[in-house]
Amino acid sequence: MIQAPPTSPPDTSMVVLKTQNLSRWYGQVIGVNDLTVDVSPGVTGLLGLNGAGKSTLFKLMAGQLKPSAGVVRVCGHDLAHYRGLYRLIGFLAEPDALYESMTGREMLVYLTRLQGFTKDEANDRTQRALQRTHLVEAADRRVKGYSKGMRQKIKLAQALAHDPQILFLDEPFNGMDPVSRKESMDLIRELGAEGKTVMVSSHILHEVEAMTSRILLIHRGQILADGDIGEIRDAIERHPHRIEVHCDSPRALASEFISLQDVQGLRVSSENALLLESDLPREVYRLLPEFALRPEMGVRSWTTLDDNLKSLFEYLVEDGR
Amino acid sequence: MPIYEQGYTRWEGEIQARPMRFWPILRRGFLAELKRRRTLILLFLAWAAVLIRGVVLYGDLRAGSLLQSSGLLKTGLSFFYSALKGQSVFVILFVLLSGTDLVSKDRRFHALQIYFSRPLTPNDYILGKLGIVSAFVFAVSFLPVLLLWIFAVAVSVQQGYFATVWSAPLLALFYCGLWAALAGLMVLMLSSVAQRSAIIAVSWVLLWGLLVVDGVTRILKMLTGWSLWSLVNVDANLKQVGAWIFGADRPLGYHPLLSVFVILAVGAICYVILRKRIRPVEVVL
Repeated sequence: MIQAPPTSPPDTSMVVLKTQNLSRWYGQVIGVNDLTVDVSPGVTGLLGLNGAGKSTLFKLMAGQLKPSAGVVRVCGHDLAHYRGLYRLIGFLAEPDALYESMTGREMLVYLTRLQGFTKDEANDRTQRALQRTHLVEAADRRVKGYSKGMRQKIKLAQALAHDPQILFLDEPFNGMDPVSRKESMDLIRELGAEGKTVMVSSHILHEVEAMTSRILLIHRGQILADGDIGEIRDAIERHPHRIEVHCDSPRALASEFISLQDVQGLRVSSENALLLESDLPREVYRLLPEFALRPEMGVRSWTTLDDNLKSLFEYLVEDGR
Repeated sequence: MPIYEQGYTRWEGEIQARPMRFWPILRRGFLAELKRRRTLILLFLAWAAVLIRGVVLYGDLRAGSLLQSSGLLKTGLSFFYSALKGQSVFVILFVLLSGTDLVSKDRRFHALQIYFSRPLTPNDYILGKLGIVSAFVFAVSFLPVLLLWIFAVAVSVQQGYFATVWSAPLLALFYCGLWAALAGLMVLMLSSVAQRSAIIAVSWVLLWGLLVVDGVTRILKMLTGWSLWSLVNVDANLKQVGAWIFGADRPLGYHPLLSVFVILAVGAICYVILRKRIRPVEVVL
């Protein structure tokens, strides 16, 4: 008997989605530039800063944008020539396009019927999608009364109701509360483990990291890095850790750190902030609470500047030169 | 020991698009409009108008033997054409009420993505939306006239009456199809280029050739004596074709084939614009 438990590992050797020299430009503006990439079953995170070309790439891959050049192949077939391949695709678009006057259930049934399912089949699939996205209780309420998080969930439900093989989820966690975020991340992980090819875009690194180790980094319409998140982490480690401390006396604080061997750089970045660079930040983090307790320093907060996508991209671009 | 499925099985072969993909769009849009009170009231009024015509018809048919000899009998093919024409006001109202928001709303709320991330083509989408408008056009024009015809055939006491009017349903079907397609394409085209319902409705009335356009073409025709001014009046050309196929008096001075050409050209232009406007994506430059 064949079973499909959510924990079974997907066959990642198989290429389900392939782009070849894919480009899209809007007049003088390049959205996606000569992008060749293979995507296998499982969850793949698409990371990029705002305006990097994530949504354009998704629209191209989902067949909603005609490429200016290049090809998108789904299961080996050119998407431009087989509209029927759309049956294999589920798409959660970033814009909030919902039918406000319908109930969540009505909307899902309608959208599932557009896939070509009969009424009964659409009803069954809708119910399953509602259950998977934890929306059963709100299903018979009008969409216009949904919170932002619920709207994201219903969008997720419509993307997976027809049981597609490939899912494009464009910023699916926007506006979700922590509980919904956790539920949705679990669902995406499950879908990946079931053998679906799930592409999730985000500009938050740890969000993607919580779902997959496979990532694609897109920058200015091009793939900047493609692979395991551990390798990306290593790239971060090669650069000194940067910590910004907000305090009343940055110069006094700098004089305390200057003798520390692990600190490679110190800069008073503004009247109330000190920027530290360190290869081994553990000692810095150990000392910071001690200084925070000294009233003359007036330490209010500190933040690490490296745990964001912007610095990651800066490092990768720098390394690539 | 269970054997776990190793994920996705590679799909081989050609996927064929299923026909009737437009049906859920049509059905959903039609039922949604039907839930509105104003729609039900208008439908009632449209059918009441035909009912009155039915009473008149009944009187005519019963008196047919008397009137036939005097040439006053008005229950031939042209009667059904005039019944269709009589429904014009309801057709216009339904085209405007059901059609103005059909594309503009989807564009405004980026809902085209919802449609086109599914195995739907732009033509499926157009067909579905056009179907909504057409369903209402047929509901207030063809269907009541068809019932009127059945009633006429059933109650007629004249010999050979059926032989005279047998083609009326087919002609009405053709005429209403043309009417629905043209009016629908025009309102959908306008709905794809404008956003506000009021602007779409006013533009449709002007483009269709009603009110101002009708008045101006009449005046120009009177002043210049040149009947071709009516070529810009879509409504007049449609009526010219209707009169031609039903064998009634033609309202325009030129050949009906010229009107057919105008109708086809307007329909084609509307379709091309509509098709360009509903590209399956919103491109933000």
